[in-house]
Parts: sequence; C-alpha cells; structure tokens
Amino acid sequence: MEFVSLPLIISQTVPWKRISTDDVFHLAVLYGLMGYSAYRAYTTGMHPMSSTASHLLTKQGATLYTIQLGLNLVWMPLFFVAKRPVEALVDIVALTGTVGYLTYVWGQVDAVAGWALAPYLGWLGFATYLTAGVGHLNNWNLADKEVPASPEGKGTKYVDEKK
Amino acid sequence: MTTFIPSLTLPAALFANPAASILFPIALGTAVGFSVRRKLALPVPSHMQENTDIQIAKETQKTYMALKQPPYRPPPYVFGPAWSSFPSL
Repeated sequence: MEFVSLPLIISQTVPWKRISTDDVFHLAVLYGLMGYSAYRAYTTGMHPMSSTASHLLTKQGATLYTIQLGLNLVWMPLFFVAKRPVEALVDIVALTGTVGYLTYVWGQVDAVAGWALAPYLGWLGFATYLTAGVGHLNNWNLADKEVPASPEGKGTKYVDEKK
Repeated sequence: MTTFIPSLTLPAALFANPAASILFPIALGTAVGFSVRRKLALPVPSHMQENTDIQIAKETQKTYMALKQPPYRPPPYVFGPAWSSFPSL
C-alpha cells in the first residue's frame, strides 16, 4: 500500500516508488490521531452533562475539522497533479491556520483532543516550510520537472542538490 | 470566532463512532494518494504490455519530479529499514 498525502512525499524527494510501508504507517498515525481527536472532542463535548458552551465549541470545531480535512486532501492534487506550488502553499498555510485554531477550540472541550492534534500541527508547520522551500528553489514552476524513472528502476536518485 | 455551519460539516456519525472517526480520514487520504499516483504513471512500454497488470502492481511509479530540495528535509533513514530494500538508495 502506498498511501500518500501531504508533503511527506516532498520530504522524500518525490521518487514515488520510495514511498514505503513505513511512510504509510507514519501518515496513518497522523490521520488516525486526527480522527481520534474528533471522536474525543465530540463524545466529551456533546455529552448531555456538558455545558452549552462546550456543545457550541464542539460543533464549531466540527466545522473547522471538515474544512481542514478538505484543505488537506486538496494539497496533493494541487502540488503533484496540477503542479501548482503557489496554490499548494496557499492551501497549506490556510490548512495550518485552520488546524491551529481547531486545536485551540477542541482543546477547550477536551485536553486529549487538543493534544492529539499536536503532532499533526507540528508536521504541517514543517510541511509548509518544505512546500515554500521547494517552490522557491524551483522558481515556483514544477511543470517541467517531471522526469522518467530509468527502466531498471535503479536510476531513481535523489535530486542533485548541487545544481 | 467561527460558527457551526451544518452544510460544511461532516455528519455527526463520523464524530460519534470511534472506528468511523479514525478510519474516515485514513480512507480518504489513501484514496487521494492512489488516484494521484495513478494519474502520474506513464503508459506502459509496448513490449511490457502483456504484463500490464503486473507492471502496474509491481512498479508503481514510472516518473518522478526532479526537484531541488530545501535544507533540513528528513533524511531517508528516518523512514526506516524498509528503504534498505531499494538497492539504488
């Protein structure tokens, strides 16, 4: 299974065949924690014994969560299919801001829900840097950067960073 | 201050059930990952077409983007021993 998402791929210099099951594991943990946070916040915040304010925060967070999931899923097609690093950067900046705010909102409802988003938020900060860095170093143009892998599969090297 | 927007919010069932809430983002991420990867694949060369299915299944990606990388990207060993199975590393 070669499941990918966000800029983990960039960090791998983008020979896709190198996305291994380990990467799958890392990403699945981030996504899983994201989902667990949603479950925690919702069950704590919407509990009948919880305050009205808590209900409200939980539902606001649910909207933020939905928005951030959409921004998250759009990043990869933007970067790798449309090859639009500028739009991808705008997307990931908005995503990081949304997740930051979501962490704040759901953190008020349930501390565990807030902390469950912390690794994801940290990763997004780093991924934003990678998106901006790759965009800048490649003149914000990825359209001409795609190259064929060698037939033997042995020529898939890291990017020549000395160039 | 944001508000709750029902039309922009996933159904409550995806928050209330632990399995659903955890698996939903994983499933969506997987689906997007696969669809993006498939779009990037090049046509299979004619002499390999008899084994198209096998080629697609085994070789995954035929192209990659040769990008200049910023400093401090994670080195490959961060992602574990599975990488050593690639002789060209």
